[in-house]
Parts: sequence; C-alpha cells; structure tokens
Amino acid sequence: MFDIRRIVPANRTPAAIGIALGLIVAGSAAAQSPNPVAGDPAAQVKHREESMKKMGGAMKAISQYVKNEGGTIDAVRTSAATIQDVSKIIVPELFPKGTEIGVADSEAKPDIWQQWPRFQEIAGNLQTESAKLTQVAQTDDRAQVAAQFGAVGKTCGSCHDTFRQEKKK
Amino acid sequence: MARGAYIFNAAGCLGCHTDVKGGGKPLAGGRPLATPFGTFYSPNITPDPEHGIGRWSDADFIRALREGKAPDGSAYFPAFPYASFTHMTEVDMLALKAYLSTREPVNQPNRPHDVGPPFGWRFLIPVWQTLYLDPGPLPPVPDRDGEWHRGRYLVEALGHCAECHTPRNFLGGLDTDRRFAGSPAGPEGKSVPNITPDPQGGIGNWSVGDITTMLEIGMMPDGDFAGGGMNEVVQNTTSKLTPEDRRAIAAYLKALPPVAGKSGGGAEAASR
Repeated sequence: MFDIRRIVPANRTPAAIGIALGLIVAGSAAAQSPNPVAGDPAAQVKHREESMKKMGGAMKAISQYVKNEGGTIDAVRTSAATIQDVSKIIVPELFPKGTEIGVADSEAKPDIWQQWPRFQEIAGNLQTESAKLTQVAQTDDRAQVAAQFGAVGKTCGSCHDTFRQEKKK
Repeated sequence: MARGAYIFNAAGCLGCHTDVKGGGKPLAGGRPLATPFGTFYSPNITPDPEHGIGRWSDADFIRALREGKAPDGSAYFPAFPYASFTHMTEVDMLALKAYLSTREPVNQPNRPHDVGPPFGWRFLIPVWQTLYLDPGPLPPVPDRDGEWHRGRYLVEALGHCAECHTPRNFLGGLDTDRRFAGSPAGPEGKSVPNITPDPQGGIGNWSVGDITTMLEIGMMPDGDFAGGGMNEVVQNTTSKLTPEDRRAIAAYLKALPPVAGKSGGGAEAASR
C-alpha cells in the first residue's frame, strides 16, 4: 500500500496540501491555455490582434477569388485553412481574462467575459462555418465559395457587433 | 407592394422599430436608442389601431415623415430621423405606408422616452425644427448624372446615413460643416467613422468596389468585418439593395467634399 507518510513529513501536511493545490491550479491553467504569451496582458492583446489580422488577410484573399479579381482557388484553400486554424484558438487562448478595453489598445468589451457562454457560442459558429468553407474550397465552384464566404463574414460581423468596441481615434 | 418593401429595407425601419435584443415583435417598437441626450424608445408602427399607426390617414403618415409631427400636431423627437425622411417623395411615402399596413399588428403601448430636461421638453422641438429641419424633396443638381441623384436619394432621404455619420452640436442638430465626417459620440455610445473621401481620415483610399463590398457584406478593404451599428445596417438595409443602388451610393459618397479628421471609428485604419 502506498504510504504518503514516507514522502510528506507529519508536520508538513499544510505545506504539502498547499503545494498540491498550487500544482493542480497551475496545471489546469496550463492545460486550458497553452498560451505562448501567458502572463503578459499587453502581449496577449497583441497576439490576439495579429491573429485577427491574419484572418482578415485571409478573408481579403478569398474575396479576390469571389469577386473574380484574380484570386486563385489555391489561395482560397490556404486562406480557409488559416481561418479554421485561428478559429480553433479563439476560445480560450486568444481571450484570457484581463485583456479587455483599457489594456494596451484592446477593443475587447468586458461583455465577452460577462457573457462567456454566448461568446463561446459565436466563436463556435466561426469554427463551424470556416470548416464548411474549407470543404467547399475543395471544389472550384465560385458560387458555392462565395455563398460560404458570405456565411463566414456574417459570423465575423456578428461577434464584432456585440463584443468589439471600435476605438475612438 | 414590392416598391414599399424595398423602401422599407432602404430606410431601415425594421432595425429601429424592433426591440431585437429584448425579444420584441417586429415593428412593435421599444428598442432603446441611447444618445448623449438620453435614451429614446422607438414607437409601435404596426397597423395596430390602438397603439400602432393602424388608424393613420395618408396625410398623417406624410406629415410624420415630412414635418416630424404626430397626428395630434405634437412634434417628434429628432431621434426619429425625419430631417432625412423629409426628402422622400410622396409616392414613396405612400408606398411605404401601404407596405406597413400589411405587417402583423401588435397591441403594445409605446414606452416613454428617458430623456431629462431640457432635451425631454417636447414643446421645444418646434424650435429645433425651425433651426434644423429643411422640409421637402431635394432639388435636382444640373451638372450631376442620374446615378449621383439616385445615390443622393438613397443616402440623404432613405438611408439617412448622415444622421449617424455626422457629429451633432449640443442642441442635437447636425454639424453641417462636418457632414459625413463621423462622430465620436454616436448612438449607443459607439464612435462612427468618417465616410467622406478624405484620404487620411475618411475613405478616400476606398474604390467604388470597396464601398459596394462593404455595403453588400460588411467587409472593409483589409478584410476586417464591420461590427457595432454598421453591421446592422448591412444586414437590414444595404445587403438588400440592388447592385446598381449600392454603386449609386458609392458614387454619391465618392463625390462628397472631403472633410479631414478622424472623428471616430475604424474606417481609415481599415484602408489599404
């Protein structure tokens, strides 16, 4: 039978409990957000904004195919993959607590964390719609791509509508 | 009826007159519009005879849009953008009324506005109207083409874009020198971008195609998608216009006098 008394001296029980709890908390925090910039709110905001801009660039590239302005279906496929990848880290990596408006140049409204289930739902919509876009991009059907591109754009707008506060410049 | 439905979309009645966030029925009113002057609650414009506009005559309806006056002669708060709707043609007003009369009646009383003195004093509104209401259709401009005139009608009369995209003075009148140059204190506390062709502060770097794409799907030239305020306009109004009408709006905006300055919002940041 494993005997804990061989590891934890009798008079160190409170310390041992504290250490154990600390490890559990740290471990679960690390498990939830394998965040490359963990612990620095300004850097987290920057990481988020860069990720969002990546998606914006991808949407722009797809629009050039949709509008027949010289964009290729290969660019659509790469872009759809980019959007799908970012969509998967929106919750929770890109929106850790403590990165709302007031932190660096964040435009994230505090409503995000106050309405976290709703926020998760909309982020989930982006995962769903961008996955469909990746699928549709396997064809070279401009009309289908256009329709799904519109659906993805709508989810972008719906989140920004509720949860992003454009900065007063 | 198709004409009335199109005008209904172009003027965006549904958005203001429906309390979407509160689960309200379409056009039954009750949507809060937070402004620097207080919070206004939109009225019921369903054909309900008691609380809606079901008993209104054609003349009542025209007077409301043209002069900002209720059937009992009292003045409407300019949160109802009649300073823009006044430029509508009578034919369009009546087509709109006919369309509204086919909507579902809802027996819901209007909620009183939450506006403190003196802004809440309705008897002062005629003063405001004397200063800021220029009633009647817009006269044609000789050296402008049909597309420009159509764009002007869509923007100035129906879309009432200037009502959000222009800063207001302390009396709530539009600051005409900065028409379309955006506002840091727009409705619901959101800053509104400059949509004049100024290259730094406005959308001077946007092509006609950029503008029509924005109006159609809400995408800005850098691939960003509009949020607060404009997202609703795209969903309810501009995405439902014909491509020709969106091009007319773009043509009109591109021909506006550029007004410098970033009054608010992200349009200039989203330029290439």
